Formats: sequence, structure tokens, C-alpha cells
Amino acid sequence: MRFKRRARFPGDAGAPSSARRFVRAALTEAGLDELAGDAVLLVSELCENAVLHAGTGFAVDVAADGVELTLSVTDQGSTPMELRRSVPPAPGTRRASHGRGLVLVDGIAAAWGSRHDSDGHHVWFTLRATAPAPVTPAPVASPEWVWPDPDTARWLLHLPAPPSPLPVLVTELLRRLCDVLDASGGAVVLADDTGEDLLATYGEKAGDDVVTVPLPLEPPRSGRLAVYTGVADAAELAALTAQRVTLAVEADKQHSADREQWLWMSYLAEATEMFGNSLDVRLTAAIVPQVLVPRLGRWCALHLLDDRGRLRLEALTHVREDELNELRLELAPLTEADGALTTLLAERTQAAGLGSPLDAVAVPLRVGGRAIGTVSVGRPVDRVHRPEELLILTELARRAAQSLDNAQRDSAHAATSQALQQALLPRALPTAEGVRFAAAYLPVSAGADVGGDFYDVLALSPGRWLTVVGDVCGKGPRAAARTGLVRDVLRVLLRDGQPLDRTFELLNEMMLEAGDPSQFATVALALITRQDTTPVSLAVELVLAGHEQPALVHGDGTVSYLGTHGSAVGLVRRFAVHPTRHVLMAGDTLVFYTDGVTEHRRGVDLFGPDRLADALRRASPRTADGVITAVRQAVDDFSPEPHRDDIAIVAVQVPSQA
Amino acid sequence: MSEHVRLRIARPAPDCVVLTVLGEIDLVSAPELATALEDYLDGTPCVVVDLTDVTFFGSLGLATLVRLTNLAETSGVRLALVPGPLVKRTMELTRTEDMFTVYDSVADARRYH
Repeated sequence: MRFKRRARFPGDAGAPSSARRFVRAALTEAGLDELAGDAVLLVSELCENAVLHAGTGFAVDVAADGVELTLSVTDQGSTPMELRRSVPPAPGTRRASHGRGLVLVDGIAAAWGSRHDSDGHHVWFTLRATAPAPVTPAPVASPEWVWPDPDTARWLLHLPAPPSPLPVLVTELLRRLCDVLDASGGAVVLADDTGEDLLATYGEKAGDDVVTVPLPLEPPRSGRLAVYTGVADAAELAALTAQRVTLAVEADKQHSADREQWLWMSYLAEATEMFGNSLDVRLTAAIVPQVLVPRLGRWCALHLLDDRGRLRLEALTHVREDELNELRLELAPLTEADGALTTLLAERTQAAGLGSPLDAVAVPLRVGGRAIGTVSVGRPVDRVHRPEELLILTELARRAAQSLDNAQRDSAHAATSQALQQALLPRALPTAEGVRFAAAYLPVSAGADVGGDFYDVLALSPGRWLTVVGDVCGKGPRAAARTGLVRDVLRVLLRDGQPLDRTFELLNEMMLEAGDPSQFATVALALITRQDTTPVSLAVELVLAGHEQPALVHGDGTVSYLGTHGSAVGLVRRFAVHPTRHVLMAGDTLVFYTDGVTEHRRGVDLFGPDRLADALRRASPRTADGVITAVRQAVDDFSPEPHRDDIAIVAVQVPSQA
Repeated sequence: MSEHVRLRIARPAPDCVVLTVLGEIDLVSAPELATALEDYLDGTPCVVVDLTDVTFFGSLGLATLVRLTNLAETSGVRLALVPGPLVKRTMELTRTEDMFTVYDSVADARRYH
């Protein structure tokens, strides 16, 4: 009859030691103790090999058949094990390499080999005992009970191969023990630091007779096996079963430790991915508690330091929503100057326990030694956090801090760009008799960088205005700086009385001198002069430098596009613009815009000038502000997709009633 | 050091240090043991490493001893090993016993070395 045992081990440095203990125990059980020394030496070599070279977990199989013992180690590495060190150092060579493992296997094993199949890579070796293995200890004669024959003993202990759940396996062992001893029932109890657990029971207790033997588990775990029998020598057989139970418990522990570690690792990976998904601070902050609860506790609170260095509750989750308010109240004092969370950051400790009624643990969020906030996690129901949970929590806090820091930097960057951009826009639009100005600027909906769109409306002299809408190539602070340049050059030259075409030529030269081919701009510019007609009208001199034609909306709702296209500024030396002249009558509105309007997308479809004309037609008659609102509305209605480009719109209107 | 392995240090004479290794030398303990032993390889002219009570010794243990021997040679330290049966067997199987200066007991090592 063959004896078989199998155990799985994680791919860490401590695993070979565990594997050695497992093999030693299995050989004792198989009655092959005399082979233990060599078996342990060789199996350790193979296990170290798996850990060092395959880097995966591995399984160790022990199979004994009479005097022959076969051990094999299976890993999931990608190269066959024997190739990994096919060249052992020559005898006498003083190379401190780890290359002598297979020399040992070859020197000791009766046979060895390797095999690669769908399970992974197996390396196996065989050892032979000198004498037939003693199958069972010598029978102990007893008037009440006779030691069972070897077959009975084997039947007692040898179960069909796992994986059956541990309680099922142990119950089966108890059943067999009770059968052999003719006992009414039995039980196995496991204990550790936290208390006792009934692992399995079989049958029932009849009378007061009980034989109890300890399970030879490694501290701090312990356990005992009780069998309800009056048979005097039951202890020896019970001890045999207890050993088998112990082996099963150890193997199960190893297996579940493997599985648990794997689960934690994948949780950690998933969580990190979620943290990293958003570059928005508020969103990232909101995700953290969602990821931690309920896995690591009943509730989770995330506090971030604000500009003044005070902790502010940023996100909060509780498994029971109805307890959120109370929790919020209980958390409030922690962020006071002498509160537990403030102290946690001030004292640079790794973690702090929060006492009743919170019953929680708090860890700091730090990036490169700089504190940015704290994460507090309420204890799981009815127990304290386990050490591995605290480890995971610390690790998650580290990763969350990193993501939050990234998001904060990003939003700071975006805020700078936006501030710069906003500073370039006129604070207020001119107001005057006989003309109405309205404008809107919408930065890109998402992302860190603002685009280079801008507009400017400026009174050059009484009754004469400059209106500019432009789009500077690029995004972010650089584009904002260029926007400032374009705006100021136009202002200065036109105030100075330069003609329109000359103004644009100079601007073009200036931008070319910068020598940056990516630096160019499209501009639509109008010089608007009030005509002293009755009713009032506006004379418009229009220049389009690579920019979209503005739309003229008449009071009756008809829409046309004005102007003649010219070169964009900053692209080519052979530059030409073609100023055109127009007149706006009462009720007319001239609408300038950037391509963020016409190129707003719905899938592959663009909003386009025709839809814009439609929107303007429907909007008429409206005030200048009303026209702009109508355009924004039409763009948003067209597609809910976020704007990829920013949008600037300026409307110049001659009111119907002057 | 890990629970696997322990190191005892004795200085029976000013020019001699005896390092006694107890426990298992394996993947976990070999690197730290090497570091710990290397600390004694400068200054003292004679170093004896007693491996009699080593309970596990494989190729990683061997690699540690080889590295140590090479280092001792470079730093002019006389290094003697007292292998014990377990370590001796691994040395014999790998035909590496000639690479080391080996004695049967610490007393022998101190007397003849």
C-alpha cells in the first residue's frame, strides 16, 4: 500500500525550512525515519531552487512504497529546474556559488529526474531504506483490546488524498478511530492565543469514559483529541490519530496561509489601481474609504491637512449609513489641537489606537516624510485587527498617500494654469451707449492643463473698441504666457494707431523670432466704431488670422458668417491677412468663438458651423448675454462628452432700442 | 539573527576567536550568518568555526563556507572549521572537504592550527 502526502508552500525564504519539517513529519509517519536526514537535505535543495530561481510557490509530494521513498518538488517557474544550474562547479573549485545542490542530489539519490507538464516543473528523487520499513509500532497486548493488524492501522490513518475541507477530513479520522476502538464518539479541539475551537466531532458521548491526547502542534497553537471509550490502551491509537490530525491541521494552515496571502496581494493590487485612476483629489479621497470598508473594518475616515495645516475630514464611510452622523460627531474632537489624529501626525508615530467608542486604528498618510493626512479604520465587528490587516492597512495608506499627493500636485498645477489664464481675461467688459458686449470662457472640463483660448474687449477711445478672440497653440502655463504676449502686442500696436494689417505683420514677426515652430496662434480681431447714425449702428473692421469666421445674427434671425481668411500668426514668413469692413445695425449680434465650440464632439461627429448657425437662429432675438447662453446650451445639448478644448465666446450687439 | 540559527562567540586566547554555529544554515539564515561571521575575519589572526551542532547544512551552507574561506585568505586570517558529521557528509558528497582546513574538534583546531 502506498503512502502519500502533499503540501504546498509559498515562494519565500522561510518555505524550505517549513518543507523540511513537513518531510520529517511525513517520514516519521511512514516509518522511514532512517531516510529523514538525506531526504530533508535533498528536498531542501530543491525547495531553495524553486524559491531562488522559479520564485513561485511550490508543492512537495512524499510517496513511500515499502522501502522506497520518492520525493518531488513542483514549481511554476518558466525554465526547467535542471537547466537553471546545469553546470555545477568542478570538484575543488572554490566558487562560492549555490551550484552544488544537484551534485548532492546526484550523490545521494538512488535515482532522480525532472519532468515538465501542465502542473509545472517536477524534480523528483528516490531514496531506499536498507531494511523493510517497520509498518506499525509493536502491538501492545491487552486483555480488553488487541492492537489492530497493519492494514487496520493504515486504514485508520490513510485517507483519500485531499483536498477535502479540514473538518471533513478530521471527522473521517475520528470516525475511523471510533470504529477501531468501538467508541461511542470523539472530538477534536484546536486552541490558540485567542481561544478554543471545536474542529470536529463524531458520534456522541456515552458514559464518563474518555481518553484525551494532545495534538503535537507547534505553539502557540495547541489542541486535543478526545475519544469516548473505556478501552485502557486507547491512548496509543488515539495518539496515532492525533498525529495524523496534526499533520492535516498544519497542511491546512499552510494552504490557507498561501491562499490568504494571495488574496491580500490581489486586494492590494486592485486597491492601488483604483487609487491611481483619478487625478482629482476629492475623487481619490472618496475612493480610499470605499476600498477599505468592509474589508479592513466597519468604517473608515480620511482626513487631509488643509492649507493652514489643520486636519479636515475629507471622506467617510460606514457599513451602516445610519451611524455616519454619530461617527462624524465622535471624530470631530480628534482633529483639535490636542486630538489623537493631530498628535499622531505631530509625534511622527506609525499608528495610533483610537479608544472607545471609536475602537479604531489610525495611520498617517505620508509622502517622503511629509504628512498629508490620516486614515482611521474602525475595528471589524467583535475583534481587533489582525497583524496582517494592520500591515495591509499601512501599505494601503502609503499607496493612498502617493496617489493623493499626485492628485494634489496635479490640481495645484491646474490651478496655476487656470489662475494665469483667468488673469489674462479682461476683468470687466466695457459698457457704452449703443453697444453691448458679452463674453464667456470655459476651460476644458477635465485634466490639468487649460488651453490657450483667450478673448479681449477693450475701449481704445470713446466710441471705439477692440474685440479679440484667439486660440494660442498648446496648453498649460507656456500657452498662457504666449496668450499674454499676443494680447498685449495687439493692444499696444492698435492703441498706437498702427493699421490692422501692419499690426498683424509685426505680431507674426515677433512670434517667428521666438523660433519655436509649435508657437502659433489663430486670432479673430475686430475694430468696432460707433456710427452716429439714427438708429445707432457699428462699423466693423474685421481681420481673421487663421481663425473661424464670426457669425452675424440679424434681428430677424438670419445668420451669416463674415470675413476673409488669412494666415495664422507665427507659422510662416509669407504672411497675409485681408481686413474686411461690415456694418452692424440695430438688433444685429456679431458672435466670435474658438474652435472648442465648432469642434465639440459627439463620437466622430462635430458640432460644426451649421449647428451653430441653427442655434443662433433659434436664439434670436436675445440680448448679447442670452445669445452666449444659447450657444453654450446648444453645445452641451449636442453632446454630454467633456470638452476636449476650452471655449471662448464673445458677442457684440447693437441693441434694438438704443 | 533569525530563529533558525544562533552564533556563540568565545575568545579563549587573545589571538583566537571560536565561533559556534547552532541550528540550520539555509536560505533564511545563510546570508545573515555570512555577514555575522565576516565581521570576525579582520583583526583576529586565528578563527575557528565550530559547526558540530549544525542541524541542517546544504549547498547554501557550503557556499557560505567557501565565501568565508576565500575572504579569510584575502585578509590573511587562518580559518579552521570543525564540521561535525552532518556538515562533513555534505562536504564529502560534494567533494569539497579539501577546500577547507578541517579538524575533528575545537580543541584539535586550537592545538594544531
